[in-house]
Amino acid sequence: MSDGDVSDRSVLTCEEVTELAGLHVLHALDAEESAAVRAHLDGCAAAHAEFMDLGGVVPAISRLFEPVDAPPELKSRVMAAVAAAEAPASTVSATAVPPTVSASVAPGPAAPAPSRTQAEMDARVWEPPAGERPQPRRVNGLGWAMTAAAVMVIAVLGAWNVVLQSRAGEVEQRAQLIAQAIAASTDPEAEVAVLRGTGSAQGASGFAAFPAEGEGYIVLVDLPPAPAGQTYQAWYLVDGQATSAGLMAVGADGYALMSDVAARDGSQQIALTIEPAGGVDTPSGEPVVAGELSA
Amino acid sequence: MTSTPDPLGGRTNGISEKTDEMLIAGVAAGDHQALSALYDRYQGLMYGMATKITRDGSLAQDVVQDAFVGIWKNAVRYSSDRGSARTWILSITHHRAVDVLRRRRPTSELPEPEGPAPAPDQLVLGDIWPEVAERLDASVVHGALESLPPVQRQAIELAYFGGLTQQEIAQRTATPLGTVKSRVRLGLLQLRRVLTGGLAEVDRPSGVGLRPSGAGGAATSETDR
Repeated sequence: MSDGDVSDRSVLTCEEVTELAGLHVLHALDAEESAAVRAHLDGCAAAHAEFMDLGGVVPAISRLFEPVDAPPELKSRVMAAVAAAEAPASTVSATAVPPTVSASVAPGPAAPAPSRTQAEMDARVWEPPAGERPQPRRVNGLGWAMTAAAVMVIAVLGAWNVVLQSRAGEVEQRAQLIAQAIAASTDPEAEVAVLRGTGSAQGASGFAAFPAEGEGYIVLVDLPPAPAGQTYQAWYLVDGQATSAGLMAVGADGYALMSDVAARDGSQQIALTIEPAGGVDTPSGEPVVAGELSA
Repeated sequence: MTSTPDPLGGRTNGISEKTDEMLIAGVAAGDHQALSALYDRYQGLMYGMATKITRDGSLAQDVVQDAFVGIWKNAVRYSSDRGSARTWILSITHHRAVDVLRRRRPTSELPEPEGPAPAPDQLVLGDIWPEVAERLDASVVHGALESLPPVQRQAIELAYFGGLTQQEIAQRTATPLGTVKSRVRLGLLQLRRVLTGGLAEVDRPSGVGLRPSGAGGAATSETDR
């Protein structure tokens, strides 16, 4: 009510909450204030329809943002970050894993039953998502930490396993490797190549990252399966001269990843070709995936 | 139809014909292809929003990445009766953008600990009049915003496009907090009135030569009649 009443922002009256509605729907309250607003709405018998009224304007205002294409390499980073994240909440509940620690006071919104009354609707709309935990969200640089808990969650998810791979250990390991690969790619000292597919691998994208110290990684998404009896093989290129970096297997979901890739001094490009199973000493065809390394 | 950005996303397989809502359902079931398609459709809008708010390409990339991880984890909670997929996705993106910005920009007044980020809040802002909001084009919205008293417009813009908190808006504009609150609230109410009531007759600021014919008029070069 009174301006700058910062001393006790945790308990708000209906009137105060109504005053804050506009700022709230524009995300212009700090974390503490919006938590206080939500706490009030959760416990308030009044409908507070002003939140819906004002909030409904926001999608219209959002029309004023001009689309800007993101750098192409962002897609593989995003897909990799998602692969390294926990499975969607649905798979968690489907396998009867207890919902990841919820500190929320609100009842979980798990049941997707449509609401009947306006009040119920509002309550649901304003409910903080129960499953969303404050967890390490930075994925760049050394801030990344794949917590043991997250790895465990992934390992336990039966449905997740079916979607991705057949063996649980691989999933866990892959999530870890992807997390490490992302960390390596955002190391300012790392040599990184943005990889893009052409020809039969059109649509594939990814990156190779060689940190200043330690092993390198090659990560690809949306890579089609290699033809029967054939395999993807990765190469370093120095002045057009190719040296094998190893064979890459593609998961059923189109992810391919290679770790422990030794850095080769002077390499200018990373490329993938399709070769007979078992690999070859010199590439027999044109690359289907390639990218320039830059320090 | 025209509301879906880049509806084909350059792909020709069946996934390109799915609605946003179908793709989100796929994401909720753990389908990476659905997420990939959603990325193709929305990366431009999301990156544009994030760039505008953070004014930093690398932060904007973090925002888009964070937002997609949020979409991945929370897709199961999305429900179309709470608003369109576009609204949901952009709300998540906007929230992430202002979060990132505030962690980067320490303000004198707000002790914003850099510790664990405040539980990101994914309120879904219901489309009250989705059929209207989806049809609005930028020029109509812009016109409506222009019609507000300048102080109200400024407060809304600083909040939504600038990512400022109410305290920061108050400081920036040397205005009491209570005034900021009411400017934002009254401004939004007025926008709502203009956009809902006056869809067919938004007051255009002088002479742009557009007929007050509502959505769509701006883009098409009118071969007049």
